[in-house]
This record gives sequence, C-alpha cells and structure tokens, in this order.
Amino acid sequence: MNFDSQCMIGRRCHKLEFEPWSKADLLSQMDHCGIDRALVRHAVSVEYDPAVGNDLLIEELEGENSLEPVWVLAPHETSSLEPADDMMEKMSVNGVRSVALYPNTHGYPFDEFACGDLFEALALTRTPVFLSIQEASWPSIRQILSAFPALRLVVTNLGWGALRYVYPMFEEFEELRVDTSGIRIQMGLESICERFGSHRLLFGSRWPLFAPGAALTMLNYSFLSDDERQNVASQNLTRLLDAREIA
Amino acid sequence: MSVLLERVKAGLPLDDVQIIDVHGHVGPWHEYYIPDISEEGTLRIMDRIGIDRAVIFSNAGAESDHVLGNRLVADYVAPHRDRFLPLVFPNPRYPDELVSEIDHYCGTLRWGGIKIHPARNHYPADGPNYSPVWEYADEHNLPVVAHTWEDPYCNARIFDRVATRYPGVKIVLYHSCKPDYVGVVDLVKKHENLFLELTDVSPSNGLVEWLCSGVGAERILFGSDFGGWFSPLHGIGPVLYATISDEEKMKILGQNAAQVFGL
Repeated sequence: MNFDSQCMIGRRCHKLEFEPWSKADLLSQMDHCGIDRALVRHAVSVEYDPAVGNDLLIEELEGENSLEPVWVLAPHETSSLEPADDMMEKMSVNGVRSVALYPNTHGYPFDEFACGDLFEALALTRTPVFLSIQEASWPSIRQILSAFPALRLVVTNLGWGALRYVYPMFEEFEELRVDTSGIRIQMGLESICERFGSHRLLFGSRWPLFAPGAALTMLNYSFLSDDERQNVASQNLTRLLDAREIA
Repeated sequence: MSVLLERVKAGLPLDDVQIIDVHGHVGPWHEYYIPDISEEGTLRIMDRIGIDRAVIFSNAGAESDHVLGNRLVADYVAPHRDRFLPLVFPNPRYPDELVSEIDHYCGTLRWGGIKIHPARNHYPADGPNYSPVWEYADEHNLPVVAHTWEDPYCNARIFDRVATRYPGVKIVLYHSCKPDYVGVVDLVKKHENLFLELTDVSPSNGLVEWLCSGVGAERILFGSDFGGWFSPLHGIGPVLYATISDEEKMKILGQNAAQVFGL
C-alpha cells in the first residue's frame, strides 16, 4: 500500500500549463500510479487564507475515502483561526489529524514566542506537523524541537544538500521525521534507514508539483528490506496519524 | 495498459528495455553529502532497475579542475568501459588546453563526446573560446552535451545561434533550458541537431508528456544527474509512469541515446 503524505489540491495563482491541480486530477494520477491514500491540503489555505482554504478542503473531500484532510494553521492572534486548544477540538470534529505550517509564506516567526501555544497543543495531542524546509531554517527548527521535544514534526521538500543538516538533527531529536519528496540523493533513503531507522521516513510526492513516479521509483527500487519499504510507503504515516490524541 | 508500467509497479528490473542514462557525474560535490558515489554502488543501482549504460563526466570539471576531473573519469571507467561512456570536460577559461585535452580523450582514448558547462565556467556557449570545441566536434562527428538553463551563458537563444552555426553537431541540451520550456520546444523544432534531456526536468508533473507532445519522443533523452548528484531512480520514475505509450518511453529511455552517441 502507498500512502502519500504530501499532496495539495486547488487552483494556484501561478500554475504552469502542464501541471495538474484539481481533486479529479489527483485521484486520476493516484489511480494510475498505484497510490491508495493521500494526505491533502488546499492551495487556498496556503496562498490566500488558511481558514477559508481549510473549510473549502472539508467541503471538497467529503465522501472521498482515499483522501484525508490536512489543515494549514497559523498563530491565532494574527489570523482568523481559532486559539490552539479550540482548534485541536475543531480538527477532531472535522476528521483532521494533521496540520501544515507556512511561517515564511504567511509572514510569522517560527519560534516559541509567536507560536508557543500552538506548538504546545500540537505536541500534547500528538498531531503530526508538516513543515517545508523552504518555510523555516534548520536553526529555528532545532530551537522549536528543543523547546517541544514531543512535537511530531515532519520536515518536507528537503533540498539536495539536506543530509548534512538532517543527520545531526536526527541524532538529537527522536520525533523528527522527513518526507521522501526531496530525497533524490543516490542511496539517500538507504543511508537514513541504516543509520536512523525507517520510521524516520514518510513517502511523499509533493503533488501537484512533482510527478509521483519520482518518489515511487526511488522507494520501490531502493535496497530497503520489504518491511522498511512498507514502513516508508504507508505504515509510518498510518501509525503517526492513528496516534493522534483526540482533544 | 502499459506492460512496462506494471513491471515498474512490481519493482522488477527492466532488463529487456534498453536504458541509457545520458547524464552522470563522477566524484563528490562540494556542497553536499552523497552516501555512495562509488563505481560499484552506481553499477549496483543501475543493475537494480536495468540501466545498461551511462554517459558520465567529472564533477571536478564542473566545480574545480577540469584536467584533474578528466583524469579521474579515466580511472573510474577503466574497469567498465562497456557500462560507462565517458565525456571529456573542457574549460573555456583555459583556451590553450582545450584542443589538446579533447584530442587526448576523444581522439586517443576514443571517449564518447564532449561535455560543456557554460554556467559553471561563467562563459557563454557561443563565445569565441568555445569555438575550438564546436569545430572539433563538427570535424570528428562527436556529440556535445551542454548544461543549459535560462541564464546568461547557456539559454535557448544562445543555442539557437550555436545550432545554426554548427548544424552537423548533435547537441544534447541538458535540463532542456529549464525553465524556458516554451522557448526550448520552439528551438528543438527549428534545429534537427538539438535534443532535449530530462535531468531535473522529468520530476515536474506533466512535463514529460508536454515535451513529448511538443517535440516528439524522438528528440528527448533520459538523464538523471546520477552518481555525484542524484539517484537515477528519481529521474527515471516520471518517465516510466508518464502517460505516454511504451514505444515513446523506450525511445526516451535509451533508443534515442543509442543513436546520438553511436551505441
């Protein structure tokens, strides 16, 4: 089974002619590629307003058993979102078990000062938090994980040189995970599994920008054991989501 | 239903498909860590999916000393000339060394062609120092692979001029002048001696299909930046999963490269 941890639907301001964007496009490509389930966020949450996009997402995913919603959050004091504890409850009511943060795009500091309440609530409820490395620096991520060691952070869209940052971070933070969308280095998956365990990796495609075949082939033709491959392909993400404490 | 895709989904080696990766790096890269860049490791990955041959050149040439780099490649390929096709990497900033370097490797050692990286060397591909490279390639019927990008040194406009000046030289446009895909499609339609290459291009969702419909599968070569940059598995995936015919995939995966490089 393949469970894609990083997909986004919805119209985007800047879309190239050949790029897909809609829920129908996603479902079609999942079917073509053999991806069974996907975590999905809405582009409107990222580019326009998290609250508006999160609501649109729930509407659009109603009845779609293979797609699970990811809400985009931000500090409530300077957004239209609910305070952290209320938000955790609202997520549970709406079947939302994971979140994504965009501090650079949304212009807020990724630190304890601005986001402390939110991190506390997310850590307490064991909510997986997806954060693109383009949205925060490694030093700031280190600071947050030092202050909130129980925070289940998944850093996504790793760049080519990421291993030199990821390795020392993995040494220090047990709850840190990464998605596979940006891991294209030769023997990158194998090296992480060998040194830190396959539980650190979540299969992710970064749909719609990247073709899922890239991350799929990296995984399916890797030298991981069958168990490791299944962990990365779906079981790690399933376990992570199932562990969320209902508020 | 794609027979090829069903085998890919099962993780089976594609041993009966001719696969030639036309873009491989030898050696480390200063900016990041690659867990395994050894020849044995690279061959292991090639065998895992069924890549028959790989076109390679030096990382040292791209980031440091091109003479050292060419020598390192010579050592690298010596035990496995049947699996690796080496390219010489000249640096236009050393014009006095250009022809002798190319002649030694392509003439004496019969390497497969020439790789240029105008962006790393900060020198335009149509600049006078590159003229001996184009002339040598033209005279000896050698393909030239060139790093291309939308930048001042190796963009589509520059290769329009080069291709016009040297219509007999087969030129593989590494990265397909990313992100000027509209421009490069027009360029390749205009010049029969130009070919697109998919490194760092194929992962863009829908782009393989779009380029196919623009220029035809016959003008596209699979490459991945493998070895001293990426794994070939990442770049080949979007080609294998692309919604194009198996016949088109086979052209891209290896048949076109065999023709361009005379394999």
